Amino acid sequence: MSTTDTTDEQPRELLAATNVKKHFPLDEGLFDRLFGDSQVVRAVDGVDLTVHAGETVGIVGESGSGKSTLGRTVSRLYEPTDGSIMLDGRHIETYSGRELRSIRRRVQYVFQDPLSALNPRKTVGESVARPLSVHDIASGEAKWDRVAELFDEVGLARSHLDAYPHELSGGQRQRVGLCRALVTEPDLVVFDEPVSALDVTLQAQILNLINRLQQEFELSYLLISHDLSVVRQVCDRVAVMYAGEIVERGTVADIFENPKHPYTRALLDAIPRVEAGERGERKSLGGEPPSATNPPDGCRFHPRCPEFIDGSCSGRKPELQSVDGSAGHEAACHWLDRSEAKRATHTPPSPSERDVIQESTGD
Amino acid sequence: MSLLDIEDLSITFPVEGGPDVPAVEGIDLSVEAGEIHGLVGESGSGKSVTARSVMRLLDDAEVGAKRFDYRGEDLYDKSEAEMRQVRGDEIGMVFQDSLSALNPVMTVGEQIAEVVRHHGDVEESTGLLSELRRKYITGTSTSAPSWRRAVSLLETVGIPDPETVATSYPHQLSGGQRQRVMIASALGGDPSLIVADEPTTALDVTVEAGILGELRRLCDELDVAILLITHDLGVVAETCDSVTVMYSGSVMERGRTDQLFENPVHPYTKGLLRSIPEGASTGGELTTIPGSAPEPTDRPDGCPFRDRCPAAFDACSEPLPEHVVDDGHVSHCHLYTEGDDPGEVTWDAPAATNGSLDGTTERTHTEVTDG
Amino acid sequence: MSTDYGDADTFFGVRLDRFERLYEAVAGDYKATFGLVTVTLFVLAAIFAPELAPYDPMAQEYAIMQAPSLSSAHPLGTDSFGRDLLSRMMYGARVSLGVSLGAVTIGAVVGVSLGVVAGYFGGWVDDALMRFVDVLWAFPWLLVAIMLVAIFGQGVWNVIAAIAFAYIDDFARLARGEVLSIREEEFVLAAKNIGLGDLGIMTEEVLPNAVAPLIVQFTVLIARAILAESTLSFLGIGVKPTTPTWGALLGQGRSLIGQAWWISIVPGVAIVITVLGINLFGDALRDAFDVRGEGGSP
Repeated sequence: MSTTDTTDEQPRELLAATNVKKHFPLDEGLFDRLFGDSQVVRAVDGVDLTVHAGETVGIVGESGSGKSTLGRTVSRLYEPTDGSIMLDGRHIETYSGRELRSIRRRVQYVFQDPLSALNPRKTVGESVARPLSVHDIASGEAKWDRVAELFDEVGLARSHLDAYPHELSGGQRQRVGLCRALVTEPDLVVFDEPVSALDVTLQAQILNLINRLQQEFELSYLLISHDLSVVRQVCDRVAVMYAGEIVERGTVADIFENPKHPYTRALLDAIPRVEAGERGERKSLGGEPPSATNPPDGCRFHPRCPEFIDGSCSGRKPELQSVDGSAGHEAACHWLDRSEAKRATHTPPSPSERDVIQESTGD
Repeated sequence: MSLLDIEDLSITFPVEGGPDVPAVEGIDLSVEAGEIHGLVGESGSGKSVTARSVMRLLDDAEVGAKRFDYRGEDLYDKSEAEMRQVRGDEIGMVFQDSLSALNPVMTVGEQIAEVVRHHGDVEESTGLLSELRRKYITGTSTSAPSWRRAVSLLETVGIPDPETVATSYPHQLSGGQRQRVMIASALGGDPSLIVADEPTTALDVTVEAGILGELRRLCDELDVAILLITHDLGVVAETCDSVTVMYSGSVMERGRTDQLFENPVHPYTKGLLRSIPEGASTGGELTTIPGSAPEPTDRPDGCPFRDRCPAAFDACSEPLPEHVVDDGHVSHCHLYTEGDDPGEVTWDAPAATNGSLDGTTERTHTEVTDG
Repeated sequence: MSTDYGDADTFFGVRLDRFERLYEAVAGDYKATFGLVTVTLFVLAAIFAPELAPYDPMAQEYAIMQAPSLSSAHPLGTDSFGRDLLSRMMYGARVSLGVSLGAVTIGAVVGVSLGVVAGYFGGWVDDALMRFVDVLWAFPWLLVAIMLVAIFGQGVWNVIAAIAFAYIDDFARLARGEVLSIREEEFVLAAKNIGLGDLGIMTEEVLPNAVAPLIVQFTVLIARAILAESTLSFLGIGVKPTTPTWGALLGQGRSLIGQAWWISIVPGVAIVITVLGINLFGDALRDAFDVRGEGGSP
């Protein structure tokens, strides 16, 4: 999908987030607050993100990488700690009250588990119709006609309008979730792991539906997933997150065919293969994601990095830099130019040795 | 003789004031000693219920089988006391959600040591008083054989620094580590079979690979058979020696992993393999199986898959047949009669695809009109 | 086109099919029917006491003091002053039921509001409100009752206020605990996402999901309120001492249990039946709200 740079006109920037941070206070005890001794979880720590009109941007990462928090922060479900968020050229990071309500209509969020995202005591019809009355879009019969049309659109029967969430199957519930997101005719839809709670045959159905709805309703998507094959399937551009930061981003082709960051490569190596009967040698990444309260110095990936080189990895924080001069493809690693051969023969020091290696041994 | 040999197993949940729920209807399942057998299916296929029936953990269900043999002895003929010995001594269990399966107020070392004392070969008192003393006052002595065994088990499952981890509480460990602790605990009684119910579903892919590798290694090195319940064909392809595919309470196809992946015969297996996003090219439509699985109380006669099957025909309402495709490769599909492959099964593309398989270019920037 | 899907009629904001569910829950369950019927009968007896009572509850017949029951003239017997016990029970129900229902309802409204707001907003709002509730809890309610009587004199409303005061913290704590877990549910975030305000989220999303334990609490406290009212009467700071209430009747009969057991047994049984009835009906009410109750997952 190398279509991003073919048109002369740059597509409109629908969402442009700059240096977004979201920190959660770790302890809300009275004494911690009184004595200012509170630590913070740096769930998202300075991320830039752009979504152009009509495109699908994917965010991938392990659990705890901050990808869901990023999605919720840019759609203003969470208050950003720092940074700017622009929707259609307007700063929305300081919006509240009525202003915020107006962007709620334009930015919608689809949750991973539709069962927990639907109020168990409302019929799914009520849940889908509610945004219409909140935003004074339609009421009475017009409202219900509109909801029923959407139900037809996503392949739900009208008789499901009166069902409660627990009476539907997982796939049907996720279709209800899509209806609720689409009912206000938004510009941007954020999908948080839209299919990971579903069976594989249903995953395919829902992914196809998501693609079709994008064309029909002219939507832009931000898709959060831990599953690289899902991202590859539906996204135009991808950002890879690790420990609250973006470590690499580019088009789907960039990321999947020319991954530059060791973490991206590790993620790709970890995808299970279904080639006939082959017991694929799947490489696992050792270690655990770092603590979000006290992330490692230097590159946050250095304690686990299979390509750890020297003190610059643990001493200096790498910035995102362009790969091979291409504007869209960026990676945050000190060692982007290292050749394939050198990487293959490199034996990294053990995790305990890494902290001892000093910056001076580096460049 | 198979290690575990189940024939014609049916599991029904009686429902008060409603129709009974037949979770599993007449399936066969066998696990050979020292192999990893995958039991794969979607949610509601009955795979987890089947796994639990092996441990006789289904109190509120009616379990019936022509044969339910473990090492030639029928598990359902045993008394509850004998069964308690089998669980742990002979069959260990690993659950999906390690955080709720482990006791939050006991260190993991203590929990494994307890299993070792009850089921392993260490000489230590397991009387009520000494267990209570350990639990509430002294804890297991770090020089006790059971504790040393617990630490060595943690090492066996690939946990670095097992002494420290043994003194940790479950919430202090990561999901991957907890799952390894669960495996260590299942190994506490030196079992011959481990039933692992979706052991990696809650984990990240990067961690999943490590856990599956560990299971594979344990199977090879300790000669433990593993019944691996999963919904993920990728996990099966990577880990299992043989596999049984379940759909809505029935077995659709079973065979060696290579047979099944190279030559899937049943339309359901074929559809399942093609639904995996990786199998398709980037972008475009995925092949899907339309519809969803029927409710257990609302299955069609005969083949439960026939309402979704593109190749369904009259015979499909008859009871499921059994056709041997190859040595060990069995399909339960009417289409397939020996030596006569039904050929390619094609699904109609979903109704509203607009026929643009290569619609990715369009899709990317259809809406860029201003500038 | 007329739409018969999803567009449920509402009655004061409550969907009518909730009432249908309630009707089904009650009609299909003899325990709930029993509960509803007894409570309704008691309430009707209280409301129409002046019309239904065979005697004036204050009228004394010295000839038949402590007459045993089973006489056709006085089916429940008479008390130590020769007053008809049935009539006194009917008039007593007015105070006992009125006070207990009123006090618990007020306690529930105030307590649940405090608890929901505290739990939903958290932070300093939570701290402030819950410390306030702690103060209420630490304040002996009998002292409050005495204060009220000292200031305003004896009366039904003071009794209701004093008892309601005592139950605010029970409801507040329970509601807050429920809300703390419910507000973490994703459907609350989803409601925020569609643009619903805080008040809307609290009333539409959070409260309906917290209602089951609150109903149970309500029915339990009704029983305690009937007894609390009798405690106040016993101490002489309840309603006027001569007014018959179930609690007061129970208290008077206590000292005569050897000679005239029915004087204390009759109000005792009435309290038990009322509490039981409200409990059974409360269960049905809870089931009617719990849409997930039927057909649980296998």
